[in-house]
Amino acid sequence: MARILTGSIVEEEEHVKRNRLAVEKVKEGQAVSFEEMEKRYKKPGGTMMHAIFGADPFDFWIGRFYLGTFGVISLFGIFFGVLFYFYQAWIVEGKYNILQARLDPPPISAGLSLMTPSEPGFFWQLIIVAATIAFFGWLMRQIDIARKLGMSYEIPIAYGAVVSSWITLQFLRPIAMGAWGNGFALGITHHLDWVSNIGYQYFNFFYNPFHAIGISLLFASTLILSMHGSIILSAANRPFIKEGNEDGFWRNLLGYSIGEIGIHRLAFWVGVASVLFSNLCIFLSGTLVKDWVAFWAFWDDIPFWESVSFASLMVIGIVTWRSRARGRIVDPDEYEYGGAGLESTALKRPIEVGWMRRLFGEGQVGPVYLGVAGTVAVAAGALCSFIILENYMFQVGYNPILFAREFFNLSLDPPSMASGLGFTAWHDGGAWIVATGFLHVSVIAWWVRVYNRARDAALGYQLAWGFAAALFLYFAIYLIRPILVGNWAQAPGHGFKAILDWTNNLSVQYGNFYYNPFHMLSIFFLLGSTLLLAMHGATIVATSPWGSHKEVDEMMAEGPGTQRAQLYWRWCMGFQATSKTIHDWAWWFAALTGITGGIGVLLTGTVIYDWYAWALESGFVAPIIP
Amino acid sequence: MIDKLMNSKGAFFGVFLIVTGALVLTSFWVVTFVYNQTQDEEEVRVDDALSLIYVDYYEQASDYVSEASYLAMGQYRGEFPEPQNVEVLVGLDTNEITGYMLNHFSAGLGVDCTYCHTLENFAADVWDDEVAMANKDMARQHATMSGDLNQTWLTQLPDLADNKQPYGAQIACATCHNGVPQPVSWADDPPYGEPLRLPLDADTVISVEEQGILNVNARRDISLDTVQYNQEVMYHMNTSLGVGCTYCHNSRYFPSYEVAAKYYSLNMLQMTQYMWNTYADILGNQEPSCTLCHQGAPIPPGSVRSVEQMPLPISSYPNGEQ
Repeated sequence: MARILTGSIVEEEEHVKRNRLAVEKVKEGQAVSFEEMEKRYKKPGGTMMHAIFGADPFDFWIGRFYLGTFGVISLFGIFFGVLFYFYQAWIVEGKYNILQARLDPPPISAGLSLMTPSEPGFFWQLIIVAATIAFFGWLMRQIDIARKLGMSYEIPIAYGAVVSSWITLQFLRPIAMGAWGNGFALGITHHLDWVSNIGYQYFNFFYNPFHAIGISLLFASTLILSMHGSIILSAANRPFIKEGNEDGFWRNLLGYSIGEIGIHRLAFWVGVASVLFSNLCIFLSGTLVKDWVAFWAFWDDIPFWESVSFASLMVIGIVTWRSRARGRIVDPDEYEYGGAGLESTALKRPIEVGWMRRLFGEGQVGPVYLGVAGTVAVAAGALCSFIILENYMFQVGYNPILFAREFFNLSLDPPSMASGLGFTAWHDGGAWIVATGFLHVSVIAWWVRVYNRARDAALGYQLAWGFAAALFLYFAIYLIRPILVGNWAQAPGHGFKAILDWTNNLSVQYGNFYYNPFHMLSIFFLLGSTLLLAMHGATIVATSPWGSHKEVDEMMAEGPGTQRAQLYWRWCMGFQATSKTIHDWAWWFAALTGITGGIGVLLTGTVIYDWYAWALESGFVAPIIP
Repeated sequence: MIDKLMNSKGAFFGVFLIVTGALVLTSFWVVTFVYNQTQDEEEVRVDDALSLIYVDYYEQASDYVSEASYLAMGQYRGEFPEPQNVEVLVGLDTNEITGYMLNHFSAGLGVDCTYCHTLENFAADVWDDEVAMANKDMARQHATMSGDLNQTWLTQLPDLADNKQPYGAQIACATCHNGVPQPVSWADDPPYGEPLRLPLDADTVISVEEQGILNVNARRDISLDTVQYNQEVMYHMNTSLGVGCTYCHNSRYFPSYEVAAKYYSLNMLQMTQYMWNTYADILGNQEPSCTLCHQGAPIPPGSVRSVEQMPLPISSYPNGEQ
């Protein structure tokens, strides 16, 4: 049984040495090179086929690439999937420009029946079957490779989450709705049409809470990826930097450092969660929920808004919250920090939070650095928030219940188009101009803080420049584009609903944002960031028993954990990154999300007024009638 | 003290209870939500109760009309087989008119004959009840209006889209009134801010060629406020008809005319605009909304099922032409 559940060819001694750094072993002359490591593990055995049947006919490598029985199954699916895809595009639809191919599912009227070769959707059905075989084979092959290296199964679990998306989209939801026609179109640009039409079929998809959570997790993934990539790169090629320097930097900046293993656990969880929430978001649409606007009616119907229960629960909430705001105090003598006055740290007596230590392996909160830039950033941010919230209160006539109930609907909007870029009366958008001005000051001051803290910690400036890429998108939306267009009215209002509406309205006014190629790129990098984050997080968590999470040290001398991580992807994909270059990938994917997004926003309404018409002219819109 | 409290077993169980409670409440909500969703689908409606004249309409005239009224009506019918003092329903005999009165006015508004008539003489225009007299006058004007809408607007529908045929429903009393004498057009105005109204001013252009406020695509002369207003009007249509945007649009490009229903909705908007600009005074100065008639269905509940079931003078085919 043990041979089935875990890899069977792992030497026990590796586990004993888990906590020893490779750098130390180099000094002792005990380091194992990557080549020796690969030679040791690159041998038959340990696969699921071996465990169950005692033999595995395809248990060998082609060059760097591991084949395996499940690899053969996967290749079978890949070959036929690609074949059918091009057959449908080129022969059936006659679209040699592959961007214009539709690859629609069968019509909804066909229900759940299987199509015959002459009927529409026949090749779609073949393609999804082939693709499912390919995905399944790949998943099983990932398990086999993990077994061969004695790793736990985080990578196949993360990949399985993505496969579950495919299953939800192409099998569960169409079956629940009773027709294959509800499946996902596979055409390269036509799938954008599918997304548009599904979104607007259920009134407004932006109001789908699981969509909102999924998207937020995608952006969170990109943020985490950028922060993690930056901190590792900023410590790269700086042999005097230790883990403590990084932790000190984060604690000074944010009050908490999640630590080396914690960040990879978080990465794994957030990456997987973003996919699972996306599954929920699409599965519910059309099956149980047909109207995401009316869905929110439940919110106003909560008896909570009856003033008595509202007031009493507020009191309970405040009391609970107040008693929660403390924790166990750790001996502060160990933490000595320089500086005086504003240029020093607050929270010098750090707090130890038990659940954070259990979750992430690091529970210390504080000290947090103040500094002139940080103080300006927080003060300006607080002023901005105050102006926004004060205006919310003004709009609901200072009624606290209405304020709480309508909180997510309320917004502080920019001045009307007629006012152009001029200043207006306070309640006609003047407040928006002032609040946004403070927000600009706040984020710039925060950038300075990030830069200064990195300088003082003797780290590189990767985090500051990654943050600058995000700020480019921010300023493109809130400052540069409104100036180019000539009025503040083109900027989003400050409010939850306002931001969702802005996104929707901008797309509606300029002929569907999905056809904006820079939006495509931005989404590519956004989803790519989540993919990289989940891959990297899962890989490091799975190899952390051998110390692969100590990345700053592992970059100097690779230990068995990092070597396993690299062998894993070499065998799986045919190539691998190193503990340094994976963070290069990370940094650039995250940064390019903001940079390409910013370019896409800046071109909209200044150079291009109708992205759909532009795409039609450029020849990559799928025709209306197949 | 607080540290001790926080690290005690009691605190653990407290948190445990709160989390469990939250999970139970959430699960309860999810189960209720799912249950409600499935209930709507499976709700069985008894066909017997369904009105044979109206679409998805259940009320019967007999619920509202009193014994005395029926008696007086029978008497009147016997006395005057030929119509007396009829202004709108010209060409119908008294039997047909009484049928219409019962099915359309009483059933549609949920009122007794005395709401508009004196039982002593159904044809009288002047008697001792000022309110009922005003109601009778108002009812005449409204009947004229529904005839106008049927004849001026619904007749356009068949020519608008080649591949889609109109249902053939007719506007009658119940279409807007739905069993109440004074229907409310905009029932769900928000608790703060500007309430939503359709763009019905006489100078708003609603047409296929130039849709004015309705077409926001690639326009440089409008701002996102206008788009927001446009979107709210569109959501209003969504909720009023209970359909998504794709009912009228290929949502990959909103300005295109790929879906036939879009022509219909434009026609209906033009009709609403005409209604508001022509009949505002008899609508109690309530701007019409899409919900007023549609009430979450593409074919308004309470509309007459077909032109044959509508009295000719106020139907789409006043001359009997088909």
